[in-house]
Amino acid sequence: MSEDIVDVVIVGAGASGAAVAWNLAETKMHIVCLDQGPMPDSSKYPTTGRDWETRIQNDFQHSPNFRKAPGDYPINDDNSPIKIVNWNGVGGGTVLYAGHMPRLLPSDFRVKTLDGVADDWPVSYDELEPFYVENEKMMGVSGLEGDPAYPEGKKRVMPPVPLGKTGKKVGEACNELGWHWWPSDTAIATQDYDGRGKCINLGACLFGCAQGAKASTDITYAQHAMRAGVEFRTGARVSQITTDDEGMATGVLYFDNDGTEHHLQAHIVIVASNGVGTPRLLLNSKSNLHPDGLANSSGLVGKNLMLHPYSWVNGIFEDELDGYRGSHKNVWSLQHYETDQSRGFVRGYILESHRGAATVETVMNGYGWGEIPWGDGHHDAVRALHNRTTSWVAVCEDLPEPHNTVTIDPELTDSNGIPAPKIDYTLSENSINMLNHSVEQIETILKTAGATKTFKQVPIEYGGWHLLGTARMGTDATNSVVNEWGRAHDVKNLFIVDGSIFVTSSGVNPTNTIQAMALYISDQIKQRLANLFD
Amino acid sequence: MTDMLTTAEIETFSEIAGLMIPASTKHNLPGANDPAIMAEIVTDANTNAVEGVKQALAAWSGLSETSGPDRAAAFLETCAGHASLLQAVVNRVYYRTDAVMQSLGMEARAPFPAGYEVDEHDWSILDPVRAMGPIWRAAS
Repeated sequence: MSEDIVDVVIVGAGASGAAVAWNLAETKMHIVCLDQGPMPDSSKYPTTGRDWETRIQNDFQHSPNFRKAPGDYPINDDNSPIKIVNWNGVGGGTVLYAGHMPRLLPSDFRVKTLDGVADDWPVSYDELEPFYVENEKMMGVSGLEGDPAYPEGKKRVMPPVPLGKTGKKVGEACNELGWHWWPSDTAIATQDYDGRGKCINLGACLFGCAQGAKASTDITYAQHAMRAGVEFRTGARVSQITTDDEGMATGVLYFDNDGTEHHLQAHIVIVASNGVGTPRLLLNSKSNLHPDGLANSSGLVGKNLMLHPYSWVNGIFEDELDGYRGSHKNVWSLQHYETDQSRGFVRGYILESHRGAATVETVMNGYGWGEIPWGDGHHDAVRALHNRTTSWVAVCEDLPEPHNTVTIDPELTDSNGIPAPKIDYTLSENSINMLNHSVEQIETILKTAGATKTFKQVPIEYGGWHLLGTARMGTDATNSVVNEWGRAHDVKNLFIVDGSIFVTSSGVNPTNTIQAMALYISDQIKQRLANLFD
Repeated sequence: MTDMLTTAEIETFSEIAGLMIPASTKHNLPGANDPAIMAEIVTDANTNAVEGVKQALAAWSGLSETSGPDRAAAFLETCAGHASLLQAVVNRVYYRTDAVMQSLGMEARAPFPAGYEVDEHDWSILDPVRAMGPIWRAAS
């Protein structure tokens, strides 16, 4: 086994890991960022070929259990109505996300105080605000200033993505209803920006952006980090964090692509492996001093998994809409975001317009809705749907519940023999009520906009994009895994920076907040270097 | 080679593809069982989904209905999962052929690098929303 010593090892090069790598680079410490997947090659992304809708059902499938790429690990999610989706490689989930970049709202950090549920975060919107600003600059977030759903002063880096025929139609419907709506904040360059070409409306944000307009961290933070001296090692699958007799982390064990095991020793270990991968790694890092897994004296590692249940409603229109063209996200509505007890649930959700659908996606939807038959009626039925559907989703706030868990599967392993994660998850009554409410509101928008028919999927089965809460942050070591600046209560040189540390899920996409928190924590590390382990 | 569709399986698959998407005189379109299209469908199936396609074809062959349309109806009714897979494989190839894309008003090309145009709009459409004033909830 090879032995190597560095100052900092970061496990995972996705949304948070790459951001931390860049932010710590100025310290001139020897930093190595490991990722079990590859460095993506955008010249091979699906939209570069005519067969792109075949590839998104195969090698660019969102579920690792179907995709089975060399860098993937299996996840037993049989006992969950929402299946886990991810991407393993530099960029992580940002390679496949839609680029939606809302901030959390101020109320999201104070849900216990305001609504009497879950817990307050140990940081506030105001404390995090400078790190949102920095992240939005690094990722290149486009949008329109002046959204009345947010506190004043939220600057955007670039103009918003185009409304299109779809955005205009649903926006006018919201105006008719008297509801809030606004162009989405998206990490999609609408102008040439930081070496990235501007968006050319490929219509496939969810499957890698061949243009490079969508900000995945392989083309943003990681590039800047590498130029600043950070080393990225791909095909490096970490099996466990090693510790010494004092209970301090000493580094990580990892397998390379050839199956050779390495011990990378480090003075600081930073875990950025997402809300499933991080508890898996901690629970697989047992020792005599940490018999229940590393950093788990609270027993909360892997508990309180939050997945953001999504509702999804499609509408069919007589007029032609954007269809296969344009970014997936164009507008949002925060009309139903804040708690209104008369609705039958606490907290709320963002509504997001999902602009259109590609051709094969349209046809497959049509089969599922019973709108496209086999036989002679096929062609006319396809033409009645093609470029004539649009949909909205609701990202419902998922409250933390200890019985929603990531544990270690007793039998399933990855290709290196490392025990795989197991998901046990149920929808709460609050979530079910919220989902049902959101469906009614989306149907109202679509019908007001002129939809002749609507079709729903509740929850989206393969919609476990947001993996949150499994190593929560807090000031009380008996009730949290990391402290208010991301350091493990139990291990003074171990930090967690991904969505695992979320105290509550909010009702918006988390990437902007995951990255702002990663910048905040790495900023704390820089400020405290002289006495970091005290 | 046992991991490829056999000649008999390809014949069955071609029959199903023709029932699923027949040729259209009205739209001047080939059916999915057009030999050139079918060859690509077989390649896709062999590359990406051969095991599932073989199982689906076996399920089709096990049905008792004799006429094609009757068997298709029974297949959709009783073998929905298999039908869904065959629909996916057939349609993802069919809808990337030149004639089919052009008949839908699309250019016969990959999305990248040319991309597409999307309408811009005047942001005065947001004036009613601006008039709402702040709707966010203070946290203190």
